[in-house]
Amino acid sequence: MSVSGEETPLKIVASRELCRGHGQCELFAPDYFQIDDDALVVVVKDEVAPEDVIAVQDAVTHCPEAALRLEQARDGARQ
Amino acid sequence: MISVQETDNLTRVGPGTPTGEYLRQFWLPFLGSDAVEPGGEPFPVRLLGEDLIAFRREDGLVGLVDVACAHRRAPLLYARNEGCGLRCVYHGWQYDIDGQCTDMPAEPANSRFKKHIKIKAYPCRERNGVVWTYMGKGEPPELPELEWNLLPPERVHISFRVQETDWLSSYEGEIDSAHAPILHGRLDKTSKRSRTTMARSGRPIFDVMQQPFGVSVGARREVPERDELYWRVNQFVMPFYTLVPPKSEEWAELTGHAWIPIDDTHTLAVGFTYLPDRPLKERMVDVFTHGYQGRETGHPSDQAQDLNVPHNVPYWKYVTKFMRASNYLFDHSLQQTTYFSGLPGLWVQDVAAQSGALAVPRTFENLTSSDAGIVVVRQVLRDCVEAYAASGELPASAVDPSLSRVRAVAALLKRDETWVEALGEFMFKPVGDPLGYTVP
Ligand code: SF4
Ligand code: FES
Ligand SMILES: [Fe+2]
Repeated sequence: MSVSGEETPLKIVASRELCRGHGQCELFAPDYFQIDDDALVVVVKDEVAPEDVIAVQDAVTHCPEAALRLEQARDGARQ
Repeated sequence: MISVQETDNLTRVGPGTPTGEYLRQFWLPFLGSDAVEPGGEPFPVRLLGEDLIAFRREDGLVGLVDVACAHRRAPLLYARNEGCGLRCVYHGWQYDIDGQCTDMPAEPANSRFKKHIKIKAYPCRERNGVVWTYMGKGEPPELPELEWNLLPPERVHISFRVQETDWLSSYEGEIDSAHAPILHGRLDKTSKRSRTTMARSGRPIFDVMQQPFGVSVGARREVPERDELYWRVNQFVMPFYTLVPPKSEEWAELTGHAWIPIDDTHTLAVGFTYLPDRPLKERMVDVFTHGYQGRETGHPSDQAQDLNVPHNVPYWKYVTKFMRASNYLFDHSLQQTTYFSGLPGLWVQDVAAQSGALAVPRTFENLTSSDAGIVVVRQVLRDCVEAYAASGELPASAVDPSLSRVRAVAALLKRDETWVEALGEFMFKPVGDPLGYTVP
């Protein structure tokens, strides 16, 4: 939680160790996820814009390998 | 010496066992080419305790892959054999011959998941009607130069059958030539067999020798009214081949088996009979294929297959009516009229006799002088298994395919001749050469 009472943006953490290229993330949030030539996830941008939170959360829930998670960005990370 | 425990260990062939790992470093002749048709029904196989599925792709290549789909483990026995390989009928995942998943029709189009999915697959090669596979580590060596699989088809008869015995008892039955005139004895006096030199000659004295290819098991016998000695040299070729010399001038075929361990209690007997330099007699092939007067001969006949075996039993095409459950169709009354054993035919007699080894603990066993070949081969095998487990070292014949080119020999020798010298040249003939001697 931020001291100002305002939510910090959510940050995507992806594990290429766990990922197995299902592409679910890419389906739900193509602006944030891509699958590369090794058939593994690449996070295109990791800070989630407020209007995309639902889509990215869907991506995270649908990942069959539990390779994605969302973290509250720390205050310092904002600037 | 080899202990009971060490010998029993030689019969354990599953993944991770010392013997199983050793045997995996050799090519296995595991299937007849005609068992799998292009695009045809996948065939369940079990090798060294591993359940697998063999199939022939539409383009003719044979594959050998894991038994279960990597998705939700549906049996690939029910797979569709189409395109590049097997397609699981549950959700349609498809596997190439190397096990790579190539299609997931129920996945979103953007999914790259299939790239991460590869099922177990063993490389296969095909040569003269036999499919071989390699389950070992690293790059496979060349196929062994075994003469029976290098000759044109009209010179060889090959058969496949499953027997309910461990592989050790199976091959041991064929290097032990002492049993032949007894177990396979016939009471009907017209029988060809009863007139062979072997049947007329006396008790065997064994002389066993370790060789670069394995072990030679020589046995000499006195022959009535002859001054020479009758020598028969059976060969044990690493890791599971046995070669038997010809029986008579008229029946000068070489025979033998590959004894492929299916698991600890089942063996695939790959039988072969061949003449190196000419076609087999039609009558002989006929007898092998159809049996002789209703009985089995050296090979399973076309009447032998048990047609009631469900298609999910490993090697169902090779399961015969002569199994433990049918008591090998033993008929005690035939001991008075037809067979010494009362067991209906040559290979059935071998199997029934070998079947005791699984039923009774090995501590019960009492080996004797005629088991010299068995004792030596067990020790050689144990040493090879131990060496491989300790340092990964394999015997020369595992890496040099030409060492497997050897023949079994039968000959009459003068009393002062040593068989190793006198018969050596006949043992190592080039593939396809005549025997070079008259079979006694
Ligand atoms: S959904 Fe998960 S496993 Fe699939 S590509 Fe995205 S991160 Fe990888
Ligand atoms: S279990 Fe084979 S595709 Fe689903
Ligand atoms: Fe026999």
